[in-house]
Amino acid sequence: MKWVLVVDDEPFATRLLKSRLEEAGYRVEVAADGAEALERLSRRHFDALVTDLMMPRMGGRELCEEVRKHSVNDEPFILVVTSRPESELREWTGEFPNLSFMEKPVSLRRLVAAIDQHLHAADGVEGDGA
Amino acid sequence: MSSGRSQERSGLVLIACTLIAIAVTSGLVLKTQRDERRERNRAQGAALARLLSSLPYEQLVPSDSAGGTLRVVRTSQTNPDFAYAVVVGLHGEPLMREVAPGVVVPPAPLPAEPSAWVGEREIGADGRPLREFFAPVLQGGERVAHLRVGFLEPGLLPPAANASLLGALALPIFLLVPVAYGMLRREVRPVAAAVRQLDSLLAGGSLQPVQVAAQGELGDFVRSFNRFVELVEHRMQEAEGEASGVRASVQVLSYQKSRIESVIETLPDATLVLDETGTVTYANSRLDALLGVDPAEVVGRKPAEWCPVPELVSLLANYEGPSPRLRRSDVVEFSLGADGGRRLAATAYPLTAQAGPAAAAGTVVLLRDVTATNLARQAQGDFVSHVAHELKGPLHVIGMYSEALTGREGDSEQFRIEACNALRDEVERVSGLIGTLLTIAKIESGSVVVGRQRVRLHDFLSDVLETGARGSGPRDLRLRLEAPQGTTVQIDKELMRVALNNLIRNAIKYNRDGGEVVLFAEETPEQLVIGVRDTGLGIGEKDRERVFEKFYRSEDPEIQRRGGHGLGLALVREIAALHGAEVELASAPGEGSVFSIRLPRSEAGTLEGGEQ
Repeated sequence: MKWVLVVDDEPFATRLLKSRLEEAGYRVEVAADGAEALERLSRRHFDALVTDLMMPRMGGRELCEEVRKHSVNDEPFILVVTSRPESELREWTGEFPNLSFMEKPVSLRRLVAAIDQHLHAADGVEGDGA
Repeated sequence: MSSGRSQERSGLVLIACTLIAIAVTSGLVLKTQRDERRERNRAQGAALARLLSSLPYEQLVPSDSAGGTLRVVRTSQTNPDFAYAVVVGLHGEPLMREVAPGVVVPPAPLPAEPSAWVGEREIGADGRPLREFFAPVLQGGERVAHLRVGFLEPGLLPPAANASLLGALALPIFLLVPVAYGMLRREVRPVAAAVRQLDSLLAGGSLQPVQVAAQGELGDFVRSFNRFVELVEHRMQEAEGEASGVRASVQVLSYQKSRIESVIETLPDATLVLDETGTVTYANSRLDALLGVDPAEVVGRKPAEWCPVPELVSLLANYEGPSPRLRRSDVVEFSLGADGGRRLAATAYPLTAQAGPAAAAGTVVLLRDVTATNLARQAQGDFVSHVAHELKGPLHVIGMYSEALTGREGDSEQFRIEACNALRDEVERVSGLIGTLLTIAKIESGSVVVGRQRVRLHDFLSDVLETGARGSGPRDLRLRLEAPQGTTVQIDKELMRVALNNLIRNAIKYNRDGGEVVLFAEETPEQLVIGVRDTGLGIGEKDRERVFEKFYRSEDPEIQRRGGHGLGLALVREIAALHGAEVELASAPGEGSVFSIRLPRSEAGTLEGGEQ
């Protein structure tokens, strides 16, 4: 059973994504902001984290380091969904092998597929990719 | 004057020759005269001596003092050389003396031998040579005395009587010399005049024909000389005419050249002209401002020697030589300045000679400062990416909801209602963003004409407050209007409404629960102030400096949380500027903010207080 943590301050967005992910067979928890996310991370192991970069006073690199610090067991796969341009992100994302990002707008289907691909690839098992 | 000197020399020579001739002639004449006198004296002396010696003794030496024959001889003597006639006894005692005045009879021995009784001899006395003729005086066949007749031996110098003759001869000869000299000079005068005129020509004076009448060969020479002078003058005039024609052409060319150069000087670009060897033939003064190189230092040299920019040197090397590498224009950009802060662009254009494209005739290089252009381009690029960034958020939400509507969630009526509301909100947000962007763009491009409508201030503001106060925000907010009644203003209603709406929405958005938003207006002698006061979050010092920038948003999480594009305040400032007004911000974190638009009375926001 794979666990995914969805972080977004817009409740509708989290709800939509949560329902799609659960359809795809994942267990989903939701956090409304960065503090809550880090707290949840420290309480259980998550296989994946979906978030925007709009954490208070936390840029991308700090976010990844904080996640690393707070994680139980292995670091989760981090999927960043953001409006920031790719060029900006490429500057630092190379240092974090388990980070991937997608530029808005992104459809729900592609989001779920990305998570499938990464988590099942790690397992070496083909996902059913919704 | 060399001719004068030679003239004097010839004159002196002439005089000298004449003098010599006179001297020689005079000498010869005098010598001939002397010789003649000498002969005459000898003849006379000898004859007199013989004659007297043949006279009886008593006649020669009379007993009475009547003088005798000797006296008669002396007194009737006309020869000035006669010196004396004396009779001396056998023992030398004088018996009878007749001596010319001033003469001393020199003592002399008598000849002893009878063969020597008659003769002549030279005897000197007191330096005056005398010639004496002696003969015996016989009485009864016996010598009883001796007769001595002396004549002065004539020297070269003539006696006074002849001197006047010689003087009369010499005087005209002497007078002849200057006359001959004068005549010679007169003959030579035309030559001297010609020489003088040549000298004055050499000294730069004007050329004139020789104005001296002359005869014969000299006259021919003078005439030919004058014709030569005419010819030379004519040729000189021709040459001067040509020269002034050339000068005029040079002046015209020079004028045209300086006009073209002044045109090039006023161009904002630095201009370089190179010839086909790559050497600089012209540089305008902008070169100093752009490259920091003195234009006077580069003419006649190749860029490799003076150009501080290697990229430019290699660009220009492509156009060098009889068959250059490049025959079309090319451009290179490079940075200059201590921190590379200035960006320059150099464009090289090959010049082609009239002969055809194959003959390269040099290169023209234009240097332009493109720092501002580049910044503008960059700002535009930034703007576009900002706009794209702002659109991504709403599009993402719209996309997700649309996707959900077509999926399982769409079966739920409640969800469909929620989705539609969300979609409408997002569409409105995007429309608002695009509307704001367009307004800003129009204002910045100058295509917005500010209208002037006369409005009642109080009514206008209260309307704005009512209709503009939408949007989500904290609960229990109080909205108030503080504005004087009876004031009229001239503003662009629509634009001012947009600006005030932005301020009011911000005041609501960033406010606290139970807080207050006040739309106010105040009058001062010089200004009318319209603004919005709130009890909201307030703006920190760092952000206060930048909130009016396009797309700027504070990084404060409270502010980030409430969303926004960062364009509202930029738009407010543009609209205020159109009215000739400034926007002021007074704020402190946690203490709310006051935004004030200060409209000047005299300018765009002309006011009329009181009436109407």
